[in-house]
Amino acid sequence: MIRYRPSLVPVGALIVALAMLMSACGGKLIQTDPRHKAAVAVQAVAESLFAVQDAEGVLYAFCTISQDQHRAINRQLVKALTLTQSAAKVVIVWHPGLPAPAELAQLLPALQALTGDIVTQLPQAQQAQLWPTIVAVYQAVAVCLILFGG
Amino acid sequence: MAKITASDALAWTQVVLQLVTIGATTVVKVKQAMIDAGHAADDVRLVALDAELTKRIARAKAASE
Repeated sequence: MIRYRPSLVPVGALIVALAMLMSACGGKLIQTDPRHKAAVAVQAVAESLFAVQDAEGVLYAFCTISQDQHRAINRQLVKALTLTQSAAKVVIVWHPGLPAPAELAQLLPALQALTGDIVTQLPQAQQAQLWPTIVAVYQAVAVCLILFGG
Repeated sequence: MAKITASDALAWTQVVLQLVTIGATTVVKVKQAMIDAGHAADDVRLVALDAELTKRIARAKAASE
């Protein structure tokens, strides 16, 4: 009588295929993580503020804005950049898997509003140029607030 | 035609169950490793961002005075 011996090859191949599939899906897994969303939002806010700071510097260098405007915008930038740094530090110490820190639900909307305020102080042409980065900030912060229930 | 005995069927079932368990454990481990790698990448970016923010704050402070 012929005895059937279980063949490990097809099942082993299935395991390897599943592991490869999960590796391929790894990028998608992190994209749905609240901590990652918060990290993306903080980076979006920071990048938009850097763009505003650079644009403001160029405008001041070409005398398009006055010295008073230059000082006023930079005072607000100090506040916004410091808040962004606080938000970045909150995300860094946020242990993955734990609920979102309460500070983030307050810091992110404040930053969103402050970034918008600073941009409106710039001339119309520069506001139009910076609009895509501001939209990215609003979207990233909105996603976080939906996730955190803020 | 060859017959499958009860002991063959039992052996098959045990092997398949073990492999399914190994497969499920592997999938969970790979998933967690990918998420951990994502968090580590976020941390690297955030630490670099923190350093850049310190420079930018100093620049803005100087310009606001």
